[in-house]
Amino acid sequence: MQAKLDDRRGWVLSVLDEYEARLTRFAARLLGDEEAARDVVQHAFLRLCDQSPGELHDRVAQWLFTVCRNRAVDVLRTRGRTTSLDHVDARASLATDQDPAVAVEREELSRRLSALVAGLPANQREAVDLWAEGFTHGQIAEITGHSEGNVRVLVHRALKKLRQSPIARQLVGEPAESGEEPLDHPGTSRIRP
Amino acid sequence: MNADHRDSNTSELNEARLTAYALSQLHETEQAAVEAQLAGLDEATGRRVRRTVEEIRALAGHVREGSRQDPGPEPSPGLRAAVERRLGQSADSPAAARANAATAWRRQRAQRRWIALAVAVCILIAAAPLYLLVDVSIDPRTEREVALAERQRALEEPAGLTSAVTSRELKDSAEPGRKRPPLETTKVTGEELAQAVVVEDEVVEVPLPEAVIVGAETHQVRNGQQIAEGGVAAGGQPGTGAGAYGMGGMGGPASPAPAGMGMPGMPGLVGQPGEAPSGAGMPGMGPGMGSGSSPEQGPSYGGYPGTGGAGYGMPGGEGMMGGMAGGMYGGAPYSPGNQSMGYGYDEMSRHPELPKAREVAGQPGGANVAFGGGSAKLVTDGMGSGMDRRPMSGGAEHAQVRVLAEALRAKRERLSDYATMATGSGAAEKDPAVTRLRVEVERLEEDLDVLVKRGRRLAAALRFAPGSEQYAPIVENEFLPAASRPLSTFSIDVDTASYANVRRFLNEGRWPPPDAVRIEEMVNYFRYDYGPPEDGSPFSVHTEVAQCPWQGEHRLLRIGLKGQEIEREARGPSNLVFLLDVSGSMADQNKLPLLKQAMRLLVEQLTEDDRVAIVTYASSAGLRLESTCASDRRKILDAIDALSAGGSTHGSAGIQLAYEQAGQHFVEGGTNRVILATDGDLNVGITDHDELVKLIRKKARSGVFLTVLGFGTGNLKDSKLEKLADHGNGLYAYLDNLREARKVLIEQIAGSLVTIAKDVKIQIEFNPGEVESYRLIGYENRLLAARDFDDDKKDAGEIGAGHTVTALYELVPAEGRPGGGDAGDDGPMLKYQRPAPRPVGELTEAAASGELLTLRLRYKEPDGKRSKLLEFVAGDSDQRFGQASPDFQFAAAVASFGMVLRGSQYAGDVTLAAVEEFAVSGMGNDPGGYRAEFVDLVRRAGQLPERGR
Repeated sequence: MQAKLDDRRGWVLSVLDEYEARLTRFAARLLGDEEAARDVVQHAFLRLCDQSPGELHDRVAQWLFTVCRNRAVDVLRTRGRTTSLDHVDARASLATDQDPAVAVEREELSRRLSALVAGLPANQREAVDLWAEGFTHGQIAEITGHSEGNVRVLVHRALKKLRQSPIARQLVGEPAESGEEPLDHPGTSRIRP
Repeated sequence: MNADHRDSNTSELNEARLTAYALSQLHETEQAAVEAQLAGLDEATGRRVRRTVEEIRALAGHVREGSRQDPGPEPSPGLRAAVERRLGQSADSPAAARANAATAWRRQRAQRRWIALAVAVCILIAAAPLYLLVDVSIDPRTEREVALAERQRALEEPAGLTSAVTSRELKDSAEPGRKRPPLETTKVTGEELAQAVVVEDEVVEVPLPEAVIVGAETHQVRNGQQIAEGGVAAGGQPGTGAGAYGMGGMGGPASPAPAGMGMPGMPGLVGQPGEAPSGAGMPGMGPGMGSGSSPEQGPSYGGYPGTGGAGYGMPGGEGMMGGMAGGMYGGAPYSPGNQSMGYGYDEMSRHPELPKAREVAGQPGGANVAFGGGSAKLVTDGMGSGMDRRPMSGGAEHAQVRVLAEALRAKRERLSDYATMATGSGAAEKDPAVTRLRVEVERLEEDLDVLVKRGRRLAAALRFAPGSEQYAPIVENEFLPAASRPLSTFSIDVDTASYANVRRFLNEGRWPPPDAVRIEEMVNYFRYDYGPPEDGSPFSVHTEVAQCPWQGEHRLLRIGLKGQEIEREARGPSNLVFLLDVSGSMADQNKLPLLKQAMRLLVEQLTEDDRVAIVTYASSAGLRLESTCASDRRKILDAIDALSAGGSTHGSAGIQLAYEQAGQHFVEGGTNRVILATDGDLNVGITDHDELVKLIRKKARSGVFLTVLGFGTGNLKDSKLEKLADHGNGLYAYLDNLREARKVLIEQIAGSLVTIAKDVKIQIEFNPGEVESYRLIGYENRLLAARDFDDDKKDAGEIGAGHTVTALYELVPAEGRPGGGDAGDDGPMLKYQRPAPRPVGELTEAAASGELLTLRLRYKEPDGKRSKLLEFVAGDSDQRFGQASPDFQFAAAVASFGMVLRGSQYAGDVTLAAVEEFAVSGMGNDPGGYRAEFVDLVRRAGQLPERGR
């Protein structure tokens, strides 16, 4: 019995070491508030204490992000409307960010890119964040409750929008204009070789 | 189904697949398919596409790298200890590991930091699974129990579906203290509700032969037919017979617990009585309601579910403190569920046996209807009860939905009863009642269809109109030398919208964007006590000069115009009910905002005999303002301010509700009118055009007329609107600017505005003997060239009976002789200077008069062609600020507040505390409490964190 407890203890603590910072980062992005993010993460880990390692085994990351996200959503929900309005700002700022001169001045490109990501619509951004955390589309779908196809589209839209920014152009070269044409009509593709 | 939609859907799905391919996220079969497709391209195209793939990969790599470099916030210091306590072990914590983690974090942190942006709700986007009803006889109870058991099992297995975790989370965080109003239509107890994810009445329907994701971008299915290309979920038997809407998120038979499954609403997240009205996302079909919340009063979230599954979760609520309107996204807090794009999952790879032409969307049974947020996707109690659960904050708003939803529920129940009785006998098939029911249900389905299309349009609108609030930049007027630029000319402005907008921002705890702050509109929001004209001219002009409060050595000039009060014609009282389309497309500046402006002006003109009610349809549906006596001006104005457009056009019972309001307060011998304002979406609750006309005619006969106001150009159906107004004995008007809106609303509809003068222009000639330079505060977009003053072809503002208009100038007093300068194009003869080409700056005798300025005013009679000129002179009696009239002080306070909000370079050293002080000393007589509210607003601004750069 004691051994089992020790197992669990070791397991939880190792998971804690591995994921706490990542989760906090993720939650902070969702919430825009570090304190709230920590609370959310704490909640997730306390819940983890009740889980059995055997059942979660390799799904622990996914489980943690799911719990964390759900909690964050609750927080946002109670926080209400202010947040949704901030979101409007985020969208607006994305629009202006597309002009590098106006946008985040004098920052290195990847940082600007991060700012662009931060300015994406919440759902797209979340999908991208989770993808960046190493989750597959399928896992993201489970975490967020979207369908996998939905996640696919969210990630796609996010990347498409990012690609259209001048920053992305500088990072990866070619401008992407208004995006590639559908594969079905390759003849009209605007992407230059 | 429109071919364009299909194309763009297909196109985006294809693009998305390519992106997924680039990110190596495709399942094997699909990946192979893409590769095959790539291989089939001609060389050049293939190169291009591969290049694109490379770019996506590279960019995604950068994004991932960037994201991971961000250390995020410092982890919470007490967490480990808390975890260890929880684990029931004494904490001999490996402090070293902890320290290491913290150090690593700091190192990373030092390198880089993310801009943490708050997240929020985005959109909704409709996802409307449609379930076809099969004739079955299943004991509802049994079915529910089965479902409950399913659910329970899922709960028992945390390693199972995500939704299991989710439901636990939900249960866990439900606030026990709050009480949920009793459910009307379900027998499920609260406890069951808290557990049952998808259960309840709807399950009875044996959902889904075909679960379909109908989404903003996706497709729709009707009557068992799959129409879309891009995504139609397969799952189960083809539907037979008439359909009813099943429950959102319910999985198909193949997979009873898909990801999009709904969760019961959290007890306690339901709006509390007395709260500001919460927004309500309108659902596709009365079903999944979005949510709303009012942050000030704690959670009021209640994900309303639906049966028809899905809907636009576009919360359109207000619910901000004081009922202030928010941005176009309405009131939902972060509710990612709403964002489900309705995207289907391309399942070709999983179901190769399906007809190839059809990409299949939706995980098997996994209609991704995620309403109301990540954890709680859907509340799936009976739809009627769902609506009824928010009696206070939501009841009115949901009224429209309720009607439709209840009708649907009743019909389904009856249909189901018939089916139960007649199973197997075939009798049901022949029963005319059944047939009729089927027809009705089909009609409701068609409604859904329409809604889905609207949702799609909305989604498109949102995508293309991010932010939604854009303001033209304002370049503040600068100081102009009185010697060389003696004339200042502008048009009067009676708009006051900026103040309400600024107030909204501040009440939301945000600084208004500087360009949203129009100082003259703020100043003119308030009424000042100027004496009426006594000499028979249409208005009086008042000037007052005192020390400028923000620049002690400057003078502040206030010019006040007061329109003559005219005895209004004896007219009966007006009983007005506005029926407003608040769908997303109405958010354009020339639509709802314009209407709101005009409505505000209208309210100013109404008397205590008049009544106003406001009903909205579309995303946030319902009674926004019950018929209110115009003496309660504040309440009406608040309701107007709180209106915002956003969300899908849904609206069901809108028109009935409007007529109901009009009928309840019918005034004999007065004007009884429903005023429908829309940009074309006419889904006011009766989709059958003939029925709508019938209703309108009937009401017109009873004395309630219908006036229709058309806005915008997009999808406006002019002729149709006009016809409706004809039937309603009313007027149809197309409104594209404020003047027109005012004219129609006030003059024609209420018949109450008496325009006493139009094209009112003011020109001030400053005496350089007294004034070194001057600056007009505000009115930046109202400036006229000096020569336009005498040009009767140049339009300017109108003034109505009793209106007041205020303008402020900041003056730098002259010290000795003014310097010379170029008179520029100032054509007219000057009073205080010799005309050019004489030495400019040479003063006339009048300059020594001590007069500060001469004010000239031109106006036309309301129907006049030629302008009349009035002339006034003003001096400076050397008042200190404290000696000035309260009105003066208050106007100065408002102007200085505006300057602070704008970050004006002219604001001097004025602080918010000073603004408050001015305002308090200028409070004077404050009927209506507007000035007190202003003071409160200034305080609020004082509590905001410093504005960023």
